[in-house]
Amino acid sequence: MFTVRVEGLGHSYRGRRALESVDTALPVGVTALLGPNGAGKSTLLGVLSGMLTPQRGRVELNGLDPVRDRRRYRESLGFLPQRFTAPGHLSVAEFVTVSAWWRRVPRAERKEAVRWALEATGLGERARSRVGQLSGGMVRRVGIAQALVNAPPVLLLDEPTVGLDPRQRNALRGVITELGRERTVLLSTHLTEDVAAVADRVVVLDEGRVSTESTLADLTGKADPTASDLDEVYERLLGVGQPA
Amino acid sequence: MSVLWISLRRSGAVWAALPVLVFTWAVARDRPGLWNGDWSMASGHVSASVLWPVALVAAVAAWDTSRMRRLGAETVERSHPRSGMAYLLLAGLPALVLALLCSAVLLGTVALSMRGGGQPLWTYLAVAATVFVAGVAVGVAGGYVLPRYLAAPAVGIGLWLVLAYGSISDNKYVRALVVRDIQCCDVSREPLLVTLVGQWLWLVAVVLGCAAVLCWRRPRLAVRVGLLGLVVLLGSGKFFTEGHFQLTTMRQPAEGVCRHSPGGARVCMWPAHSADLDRWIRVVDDYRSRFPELDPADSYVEKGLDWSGGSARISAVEPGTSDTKLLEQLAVQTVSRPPECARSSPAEATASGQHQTVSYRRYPGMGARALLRAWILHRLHPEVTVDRLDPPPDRVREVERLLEAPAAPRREWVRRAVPAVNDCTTPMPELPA
Repeated sequence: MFTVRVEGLGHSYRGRRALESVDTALPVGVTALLGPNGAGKSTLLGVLSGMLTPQRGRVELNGLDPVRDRRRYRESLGFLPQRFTAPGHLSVAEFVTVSAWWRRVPRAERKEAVRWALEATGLGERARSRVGQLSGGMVRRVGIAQALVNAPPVLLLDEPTVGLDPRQRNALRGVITELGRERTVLLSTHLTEDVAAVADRVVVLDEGRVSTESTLADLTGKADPTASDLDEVYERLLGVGQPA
Repeated sequence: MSVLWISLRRSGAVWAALPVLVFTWAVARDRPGLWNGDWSMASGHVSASVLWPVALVAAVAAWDTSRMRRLGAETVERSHPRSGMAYLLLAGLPALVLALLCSAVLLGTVALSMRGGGQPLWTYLAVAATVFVAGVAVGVAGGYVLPRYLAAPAVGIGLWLVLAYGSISDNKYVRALVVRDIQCCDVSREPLLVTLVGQWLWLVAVVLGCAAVLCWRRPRLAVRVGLLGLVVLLGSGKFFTEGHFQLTTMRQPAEGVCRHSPGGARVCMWPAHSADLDRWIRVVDDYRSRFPELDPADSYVEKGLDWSGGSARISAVEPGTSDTKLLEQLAVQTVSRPPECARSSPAEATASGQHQTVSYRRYPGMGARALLRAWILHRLHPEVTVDRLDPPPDRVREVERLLEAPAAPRREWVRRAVPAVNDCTTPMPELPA
């Protein structure tokens, strides 16, 4: 059962093609999106999140079109952008409450939704803290909490562990793994450690096309691959040392 | 914890409220030159007093919006199901509440200091309230497009400059568009609705323009909203033209309250100012008995009431004005303005006569005006020295000569000088030896 389908998706910026023709389908679980710089990862996330309008091809989320069904499509997803910032003068709970309003969580359910999102991201004890006083890792968690607050079936996370220390990164990976048990999570990252730790599947983008799409086990030939296993495979696939 | 509550609680408006409201009270309170003789005048004062509060409230809206905009571009507008516009309006809500409080403080301050009667001109007051709404819209749009820490000061100062200097523009369209330019309505009867509709439409056009700026990421919508704003703006111009840029209709002279003084002078005032009638009757009789040389008029009327060349002008009494000052006003009036025959350009006046561009040419008796004025002031304040009478530098010697002259020739000189300053043919009489 796939929740997200992408068919023949193409997108250009002033004549420069960022996505040639992307075809993929994302099932429930964590899918890692890998690729070198300029491969089109951010553009794909931009289109999937509704930030960019598809120029060619189709995007579907549980049968919903991002343009025709704009509101319901957006209600069905949560998005953590790469450069996530939140107003520092709000408390964590206040910001997530406002996010719940943005995401059209019914007023009667909002309080419980906020409590659940904060618990799911381990922010329950920091609910009253001002966002401006939080560490980078905590702010990323706030970003995930705001993406999660409407309990969307699809989560799009762009570089969620960037800039975090190893302890924060591990904690966040745990959160993502947990979220991936019930929903579709698309994780764009250049850290193979993240992929090895949380992903079930990998989609590799190269020059605007999907070059590889596979489960982690099939790709590496190992049931429980490590980051170095992934690095090797990645090098073989794209002829580069590290995914970017 | 509702979203509205969060928005209000965390707004800069919470910190700005006290100083802004105190400031609003300060600009609206009774003070020299801006006092509330009746509701008709005060309605104009309320509108004129929005200049500072509107700029401050707009700055608060810009501050709040620019602070919230940090996550606006990507996550709010473009991936959330709710419109980014809704959120920006939410960011502007606290400033809007502050604006309503400012309007209430303005109105309350004026109501508490009201001396005369009459009814508030609600349509005027509604325009003043709408200015706040438009100010908040400008603040939200400014906070959305301008750099974070520049937004609030730029919006506040910019709006203040537009309101302050637009109202003294030579262009009648600009003057009509700047809502601060609502005249004090001492002779107006009621607002001219067609012009006020033009002002409301103009404010709606401002709000639509701001909305177009706010939704620029959806270009089609932005263009549609912007075009609608343009149509509304052009519509407002049509209404201004239809109303001949006049904001009020004139009161009918027959509405005045007139009485005769014991000395036989007729004194007329508007009903809203009639509490001052007894005082003026006393002062008029005093004037007529103390300054017979000035050929006092037999009729004393307020502006707009049976105004003719033969009547002297009186007005509602500003709080704290002494009888001597009123007497001085009446006497100096004799020489305060050159006669009609010396006018060299036609008057351009609005309904209530607020905007007059008049110039005068030289005439033979012109030099006597400064001397007569000095004589009047010296008569009322004999203790004051010549230099304190403030004559023109080239007339000081003549003033000294006049005041040092014996009483009889001096009075004779004054008697002959009065017609000289009031017609364009009689030359200034020779000063007494």
